[in-house]
Amino acid sequence: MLIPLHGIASRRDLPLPFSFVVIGAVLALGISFAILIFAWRQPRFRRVGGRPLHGLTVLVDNPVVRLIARALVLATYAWAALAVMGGKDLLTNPIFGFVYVWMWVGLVPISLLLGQFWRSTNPLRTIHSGLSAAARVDPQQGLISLPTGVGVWPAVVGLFGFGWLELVQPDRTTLAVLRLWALAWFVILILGAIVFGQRWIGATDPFEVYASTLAQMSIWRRVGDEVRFVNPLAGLNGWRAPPGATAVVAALLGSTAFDSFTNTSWWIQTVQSSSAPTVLWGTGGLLAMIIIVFVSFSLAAAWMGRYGDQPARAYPRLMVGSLLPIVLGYVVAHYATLLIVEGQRTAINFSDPLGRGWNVFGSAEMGVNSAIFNHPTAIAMTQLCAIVGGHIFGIVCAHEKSVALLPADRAVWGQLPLLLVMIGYTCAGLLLLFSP
Amino acid sequence: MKIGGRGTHGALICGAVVLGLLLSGCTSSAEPQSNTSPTSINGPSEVSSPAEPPTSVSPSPPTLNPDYALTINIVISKGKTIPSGEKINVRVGQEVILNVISDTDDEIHAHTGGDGYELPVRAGTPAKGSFTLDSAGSFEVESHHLEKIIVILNAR
Repeated sequence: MLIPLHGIASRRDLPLPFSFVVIGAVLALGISFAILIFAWRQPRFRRVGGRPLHGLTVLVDNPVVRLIARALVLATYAWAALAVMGGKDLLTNPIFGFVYVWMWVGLVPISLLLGQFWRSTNPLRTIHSGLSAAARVDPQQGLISLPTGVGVWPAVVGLFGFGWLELVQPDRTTLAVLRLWALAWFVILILGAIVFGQRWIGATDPFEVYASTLAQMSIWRRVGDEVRFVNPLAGLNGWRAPPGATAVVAALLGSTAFDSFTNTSWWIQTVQSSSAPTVLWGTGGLLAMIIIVFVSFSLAAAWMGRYGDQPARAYPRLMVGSLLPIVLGYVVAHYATLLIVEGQRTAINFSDPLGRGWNVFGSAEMGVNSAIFNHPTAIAMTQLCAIVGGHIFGIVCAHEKSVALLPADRAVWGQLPLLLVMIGYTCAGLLLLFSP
Repeated sequence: MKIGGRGTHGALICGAVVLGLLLSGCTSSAEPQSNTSPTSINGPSEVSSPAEPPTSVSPSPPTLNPDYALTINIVISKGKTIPSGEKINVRVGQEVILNVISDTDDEIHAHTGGDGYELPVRAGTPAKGSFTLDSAGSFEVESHHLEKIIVILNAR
């Protein structure tokens, strides 16, 4: 069995036509300044608003419904665990698609469509709650309490780790490697939860932090005790980002950008002709990309401290929500076809986790429908819309926050560096899709 | 700009044709010259693709005319490949011919969207093989033993 050099997908999207890059950049630039100059000067989304949904709240809070949802997700994970621990080291093993496609990319639509679904059904939480119940201890209560300032900082390490596994780790599509990572993830998270209480999972699990961060853009939002149907702009504006959120978002944006960057001829030639090991290049490149995003965003947001009444270092975390739509745009543009095509392959292989010819879910005989690749223009158009749409959504969020945080006459100057940085991210994203 | 991009490719290709001619006359000890353009020959070439003569005169650029085969000359030497990570445009359905010369045993693996294409290469013996891409996308051709990307084919 052949192991492709680059993950599980044997095909990437065609480069974005250069005309699309130019159109995207012009749109991003024009609309950004139009919003800056002409948009509202008084905050519009001071309250999340939205429509309270009593019926839905009762439904999702029903213990039986919660139990069923958690059991289903846990069963899916147990099935995947079977594949990673007992399956064969072949690319037909569903675990590769399960981790790199279903989990990493699939959590995005799940979180957008279902809000904080993942936090409620995270199998790590289910297992830890089960263990706590067996030991008759409170799952929230650990042996040592986690300092409050920790926020989601540990998840930055987890997200970097996952990005490294996905993009740098040699032999990442071999079973032994993935098994080691899966075991490490499981042990660190469960042991940590026993020591620090279940808050550890919310602070450390890269998947949960990724999912719950992106769920801030969902149309479903819990306000107080009630689930509401909200305007995603208002919902995102109401997000109180935890400490470390800026680094989390930088890790998400930086690793997606690095994925594209490694596909440029320049990178491939440089790395392949260098005598330094590929792993070193990959690690350095990934780290550099994340740091570039983190530093540029933090500095641009800190500029607002000149005009507002809070210390400069407070602003990156206050403003970081405006980067989430850009992250979403990047993810859609880079991974939509992967999710659609390789997601199907994973579903097919999922019937046979041990490679014994099983067809448990009746999917084994199905074929992958890859007709989407016959429409390269539609794919390119979707990528363009995702990047530009995410950018506009992000700029609107940044503007709203700026007029809420800064005096009315200073809001424009205060948000200008941030606007330029965001335009930079968007143009960089378009150029990386053009992939010279 | 798209045209500009092709122009650049064209320039590379012109240099490549010269080097390709040189190499095809040399033995396997030929060393890749790092200061020269990558050695890919696109389009119809008297040297390397005697098969598939054009059946009709077509106004479209020959490199992207599916009636012609796209020939890629590959040199693997001292752990490096030429070309290295270059991007080449190809038409869906156009035959892609690989001419490989290597100083070690290797396998050239081309992603095709399906099972892939495999060309075994013996040290010092020129190897030739061909495949076609049946659908659009960006596909890597890599040296399996070196784990290096030789070219990326953008099939439209």
